Amino acid sequence: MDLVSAEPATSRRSLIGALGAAGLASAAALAVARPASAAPYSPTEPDKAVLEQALQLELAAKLLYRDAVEAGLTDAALEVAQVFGDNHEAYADQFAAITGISADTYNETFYDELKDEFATSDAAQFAQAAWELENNFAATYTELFTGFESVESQTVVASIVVLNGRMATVLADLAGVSDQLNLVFDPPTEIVTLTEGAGS
Amino acid sequence: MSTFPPRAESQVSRRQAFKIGGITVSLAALVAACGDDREGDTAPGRVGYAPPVTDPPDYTVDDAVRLRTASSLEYSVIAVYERALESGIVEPSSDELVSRLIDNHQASADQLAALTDAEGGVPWECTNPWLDDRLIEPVLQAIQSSDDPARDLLRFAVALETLAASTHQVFAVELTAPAAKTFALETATSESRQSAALVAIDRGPDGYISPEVYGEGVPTDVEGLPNIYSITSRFGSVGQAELIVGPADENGSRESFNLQTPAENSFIYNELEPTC
Repeated sequence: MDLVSAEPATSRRSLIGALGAAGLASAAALAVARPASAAPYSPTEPDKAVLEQALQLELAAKLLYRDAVEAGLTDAALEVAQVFGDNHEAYADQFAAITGISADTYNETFYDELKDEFATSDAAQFAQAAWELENNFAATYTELFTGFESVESQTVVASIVVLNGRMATVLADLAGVSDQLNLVFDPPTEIVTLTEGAGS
Repeated sequence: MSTFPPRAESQVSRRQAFKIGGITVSLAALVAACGDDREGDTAPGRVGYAPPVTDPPDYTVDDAVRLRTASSLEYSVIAVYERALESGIVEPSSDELVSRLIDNHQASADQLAALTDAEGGVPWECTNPWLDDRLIEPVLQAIQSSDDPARDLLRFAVALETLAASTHQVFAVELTAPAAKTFALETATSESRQSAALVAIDRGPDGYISPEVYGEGVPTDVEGLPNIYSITSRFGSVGQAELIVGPADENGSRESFNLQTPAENSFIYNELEPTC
């Protein structure tokens, strides 16, 4: 996708591959309004199944940013890559903390798909790849949001999504397109597939 | 250049307040020390002048109330931007950005109204009176008399966008209707983008990441004001935020305001009638 010429798009991959049958059943059941006071506080088993996949995605993102750092970025791009990579590691750790799942496995398929785009010392190329990632993560979490049963799952995910939006905005500026307000405020997004192989 | 309307209440400077407060406390201590065979009200005493404490109304807080409150915040932010444009403080080069922000907030308000209606509530299409009285009007007055209104207006805009984003972040969890929850989260993200963009466009790379993220203090600018940043934390914060604007006094201190997400005292309950 060309950052400069990109038009807002709506193409989104099916969530079927992302969630699997169990996840979809859970999401469908939760399409019915539930009073917040009736919701469990801690993540339920269906929540944990999705959060584990999200954790693996966050670790893949951390590795992608690490690759960018090691590829030779400098100045502001280097700081952005270091901090944003640390942010994604913090999100993985937070998912691990609320689910009890070890943060030791990353989504290998997702990592392999993007590693060449991130392994660059070119700030603009890095910014575009990372901008797409952050926007897609925000869209993916938003799509999954109402499927989470517990207050804690929703609270943590909401606190991450808003940072995805902030990070994407910084990356748009780093790429030199912050004057293109449609790209900044209404970026194209694509839902990320959560479950496709894992590495550790 | 037009001006923001004056604040209604009387002005007492902080220095005067300290003097008055000091005298009052001294007299109160003297009276208390001499007291004997006291009678009367056994409620805790109050020293100095403060508005009487009022309990928040005992109304139901449901999805409609949260959606009406979210709407009110959108309209309060729109009103600030519109008054900023009218005041002439906004640089012409920023007109397009400010107009876009107004359009974005209006679109959010329109969708929130539709969601309110879907939840059986009456859409709220006015500003938030509580927020207007206690935050927006005082801040605009401080900006009006500032040594650098444009600088302070930007800080206020960043703070308002962050406040709005935090509010929607909270409501995304608290709302129960799936469509309303999803839209609240989308709006929280959009307004986070807007807050970050205002800083990034103004400061560039210097304003990307706050040292707060590393657990360090925020440096100040040449005026002694804390710098503003696009990224101020690793997770979206919903805590209280401080805004410092207005002219410096003889000690270099400026007025400080606390921004908090709406609570019981600032909700737009279903029982409230429109104020516009």
